[in-house]
Amino acid sequence: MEAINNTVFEKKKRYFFVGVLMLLCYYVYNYILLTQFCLNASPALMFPSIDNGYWLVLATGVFYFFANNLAAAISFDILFFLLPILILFLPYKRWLNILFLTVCFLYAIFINTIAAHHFHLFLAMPVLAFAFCFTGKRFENIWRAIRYYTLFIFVSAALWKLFRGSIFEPNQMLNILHAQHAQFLYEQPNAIHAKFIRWLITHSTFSNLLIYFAALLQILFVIGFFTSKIDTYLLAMLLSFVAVNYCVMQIFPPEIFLFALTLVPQSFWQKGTMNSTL
Amino acid sequence: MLKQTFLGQLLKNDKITFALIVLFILGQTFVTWRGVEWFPFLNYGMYSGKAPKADTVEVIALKLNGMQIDISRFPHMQFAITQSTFNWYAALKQNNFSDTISKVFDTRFKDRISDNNYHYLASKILNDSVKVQTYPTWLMHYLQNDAINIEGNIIAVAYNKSGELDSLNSKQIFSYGSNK
Repeated sequence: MEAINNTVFEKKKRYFFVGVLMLLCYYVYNYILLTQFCLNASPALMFPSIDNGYWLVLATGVFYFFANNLAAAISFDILFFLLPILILFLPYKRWLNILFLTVCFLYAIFINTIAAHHFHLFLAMPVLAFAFCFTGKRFENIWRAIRYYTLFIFVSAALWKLFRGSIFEPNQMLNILHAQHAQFLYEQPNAIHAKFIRWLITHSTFSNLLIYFAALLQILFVIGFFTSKIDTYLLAMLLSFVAVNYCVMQIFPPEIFLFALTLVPQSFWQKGTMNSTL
Repeated sequence: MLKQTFLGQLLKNDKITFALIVLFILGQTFVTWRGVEWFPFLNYGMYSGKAPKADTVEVIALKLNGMQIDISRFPHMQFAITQSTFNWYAALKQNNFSDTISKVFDTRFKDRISDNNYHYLASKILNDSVKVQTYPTWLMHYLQNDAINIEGNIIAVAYNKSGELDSLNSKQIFSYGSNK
């Protein structure tokens, strides 16, 4: 039984850690590795906000050790790249997974502190890395729990809109578009994407409908709490949401693809593995 | 009925995972109820706050080595981080470089812990007003390793009827570096 589970486990592990490596390359391109922030001078600003989780980590002094010491920052990033590779190619060693979990948890806190903006979806990497600290049935149970968390992200976004009343605000989407795209429209007024954004801004009836569409799409994820039979559709909805979000808001959170792995149907994971006939 | 649910099955077959998940749910419920965030317990609003009218907004104008740079051409995350750090610096500057969360910090710790511990925690959690002022230098090198000067301005802009932006006024936030 353990061997069968581990076959699916191995496939999920491959997809997750290859995804992590791709994400890390994306971070290099975006110039947001710890080394890139600390290369010439240690970061001048901190933004822990009023989040006790951040305060706790900052109080330990571990942030300053890495942020004020270039050699430590470089070592941290090397470890960040090296661990997924070791986990992919070496036989399962729990301590490597626990170490990786620690590194990506700290990375999320460090970068969000330096960035003066808390990217919520940085949580995807440590949350999924946590699952890989276990094997067998427990791994599958935690993976399933993360699937529910992925659904929760979308459903709660719809509920927040509803309970905070923003969805009923006239011109809510128009105001969001105004604030969101000012920098882009100011600097690149002739870009094709800018023309599309301007069209949205000048057609406020249509753009205001988009917030209803987004909330509807988000609330539909609630179905996933009752059945996993439509996970393929939920996955398609998630990917559509990411695409529309990019077109309308110019927001692209690549970490969502890690969460999306939990919506990939079990039949896909079983295909080509030892339990493919089960 | 409840035994058929995910948590019901966990309670029967995997009590440790059950306990972990229940703890997480309790933590998440608590922070949601309190309207705060304690990493890793987060709230995903996705623009659920009421958006104020934004016909007039502020944009950032950065000059590196005397040349205007378009930060919106940066990769997505670098763009977002440049914007957010710049705005955070501007907010701190407006507050005389004193951390804006110091009131919350005092509410949580002042007169509740010893003076030594209070000062230790303040030095770790709050922005250092001297260090904050090195932000222009840090940003200059972060954006371009060999840059020698940087200038940051905030420009107020207004949307006209065709969705284009008209500049209203400009305010300098910092200017740093040599002219050579």
